Amino acid sequence: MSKQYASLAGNIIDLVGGPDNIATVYHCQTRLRFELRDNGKADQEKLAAVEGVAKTLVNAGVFQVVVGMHVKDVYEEVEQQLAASGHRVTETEEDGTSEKRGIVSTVIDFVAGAFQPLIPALSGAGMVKAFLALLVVFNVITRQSQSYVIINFIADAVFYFMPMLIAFSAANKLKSNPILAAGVAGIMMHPNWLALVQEGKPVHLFEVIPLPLASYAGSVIPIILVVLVQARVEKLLDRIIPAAVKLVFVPMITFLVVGTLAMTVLGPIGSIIGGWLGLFFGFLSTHAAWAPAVLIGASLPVMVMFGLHNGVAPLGIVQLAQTGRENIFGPGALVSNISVGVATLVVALRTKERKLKQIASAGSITALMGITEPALYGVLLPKRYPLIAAMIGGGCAGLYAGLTQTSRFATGSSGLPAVLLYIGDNTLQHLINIVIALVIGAIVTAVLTFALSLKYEKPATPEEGFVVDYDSLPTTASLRNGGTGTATLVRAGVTELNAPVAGVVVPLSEVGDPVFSAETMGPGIAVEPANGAIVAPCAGTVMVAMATGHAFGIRTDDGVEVLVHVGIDTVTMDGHGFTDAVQRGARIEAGQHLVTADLDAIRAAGHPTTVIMVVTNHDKFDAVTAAASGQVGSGEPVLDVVR
Amino acid sequence: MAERIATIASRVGLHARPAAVFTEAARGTGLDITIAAQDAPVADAVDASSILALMSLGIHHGDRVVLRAEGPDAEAALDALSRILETDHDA
Repeated sequence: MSKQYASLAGNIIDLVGGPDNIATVYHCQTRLRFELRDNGKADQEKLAAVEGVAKTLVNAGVFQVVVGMHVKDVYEEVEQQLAASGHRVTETEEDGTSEKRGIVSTVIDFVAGAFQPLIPALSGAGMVKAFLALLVVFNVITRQSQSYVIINFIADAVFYFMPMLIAFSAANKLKSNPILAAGVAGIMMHPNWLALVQEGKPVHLFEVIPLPLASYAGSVIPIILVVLVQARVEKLLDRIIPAAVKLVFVPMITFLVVGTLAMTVLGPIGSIIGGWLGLFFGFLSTHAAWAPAVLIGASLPVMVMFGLHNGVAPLGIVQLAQTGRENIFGPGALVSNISVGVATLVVALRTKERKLKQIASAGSITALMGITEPALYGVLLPKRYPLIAAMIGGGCAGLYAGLTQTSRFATGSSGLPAVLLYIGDNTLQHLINIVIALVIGAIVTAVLTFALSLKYEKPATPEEGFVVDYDSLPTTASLRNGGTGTATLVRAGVTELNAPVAGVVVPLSEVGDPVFSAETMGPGIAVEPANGAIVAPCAGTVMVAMATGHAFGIRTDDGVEVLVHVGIDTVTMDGHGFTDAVQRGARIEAGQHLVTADLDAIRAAGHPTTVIMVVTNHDKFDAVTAAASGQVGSGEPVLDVVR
Repeated sequence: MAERIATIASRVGLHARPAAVFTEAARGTGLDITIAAQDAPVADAVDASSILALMSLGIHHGDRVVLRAEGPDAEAALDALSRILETDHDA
């Protein structure tokens, strides 16, 4: 399934410095994130020029390759290829990365890595809670019924046993044993311990070591401390215990040592810190309920660029686990993403630049669904004015959500469908408020973006083609040289190919030759010709002029390679019916004569006369799209190659 | 610099589908691979990942070509590519 990304993955691995330079690799919604031993070995420029790579950036010591929505497939391929090369990315030495990262980045990286894997479970549990709330709101079941109790614990299990889930993913992140970590979490949540806590009498181990009475169900901080310590203990034991008995003694001693530490010191300390966080949440909601939503609503786009949102989002998860609701991160993130989507949508409607229009249309949809990276890097950042509009709009929406104390009851992606996460507490009030906030954000953003676009959005002219805008866009930058002084119209990032003959345009897929119809030779278009005057679709150099006169290859100055093929299977006519063909190596202008074909002779030989035009090196460009259908005159634009 | 000589097995020469299959594979290696007719000077070698460049060589069934590449994986890549050339994809 992911085979189509094999070469992309291979290229990426090579350009980040080869398998040996990769300490770890993981991915988020659109990016591959590499921790490299030496960031200097990665070739950022070449990598950014690779087809399929939108952008590269280094942040907090992490080398990031923005790939797009299919990052998961690319990631799987990268993993496979690394495994195939005998390289085990999971076995990182502690001092593997020579890059010194700040303590803040390290903490953010760990917290993000530990919490991100939980999101599907939390989202699922939250949606079950929303479902339950709906059942109650519409009087399908009562809160006293057994059904309520059952559905409630189906939803609640993830929250109750959160320490186990966190233990597992945090240990994964630290590369210690996740099963052992989950086991230790189990010790802390054992029903017998809970019984001791509820009894309320002092508990001692060996009659001397006191175990402070604390329940760890649904807690977050205690288990994180435990796993951090456990990773160290495990590594130490791994070193000092002889290999022959490792299998038995490492887990046993880990359980005894870490279990004891967890119940006596680490757990209780974690509980105290958790208590402080609880106080902090309480303080926020009574004194400054509006603050988090405004802050996140306005600044999330910037936080995303620096990866800081990964440090804040887990606070929301902690709050959710402790209080059953969350208003630190979720509402702000949702209104911000929607504002980004709306700003991008307005740009898509307003801009005259074709490529930007494409990126903006696609980016706005993904942003509305909660993935803002394409919109951010493709539109907001290069254009700046929609970024400002989206931040103001997000801030306004955040203010409303904050003042009304709108909370969500589960975490999940922050796109339009996420409004369902705001159903909970057996009321629809939060849902209504978040929708109002979204409407406010969308209106403010749309109006501002539109107003600013009047000032900043100028009609694109051919001369502007290669300036500012497109350089800042994530495009294949490799072939942007040249491109002036030809008769081919070079618009901003687009090479136009014209009809090589007058006639009727037909889609390539309907051509009666599987090599062409399956796009084996590349994407393109075909024309059922009205006459036999075949002309060049673009200016360039004639790279191929088959001796048979039936096929020509032209390379434009901006690197587009175009094949014009007259008739199907006409190679067998051996030049018969083709006269006055242009020579290989000739310099040619758009519309200039290529060959005269005798259509009757082709038909008489039993071949279709279809004239086919394909872009053979399409993989070097962003898109090849049809620009015409139906009747066309010779020389009319029919195909756009988006660079 | 790794080099391989291969004989074109495809009956239509390096044209259409065989050419497409080959260039796709050449691109997949991620290396800069060149191809030339066996007796042609090195300077006439063309980019093996371009169908048009390939077609411009006008190579027919039974012709011998030279593949060249540089880099750590070049040997293995050229082995794979010459296998493709020596297979008749229309058979």
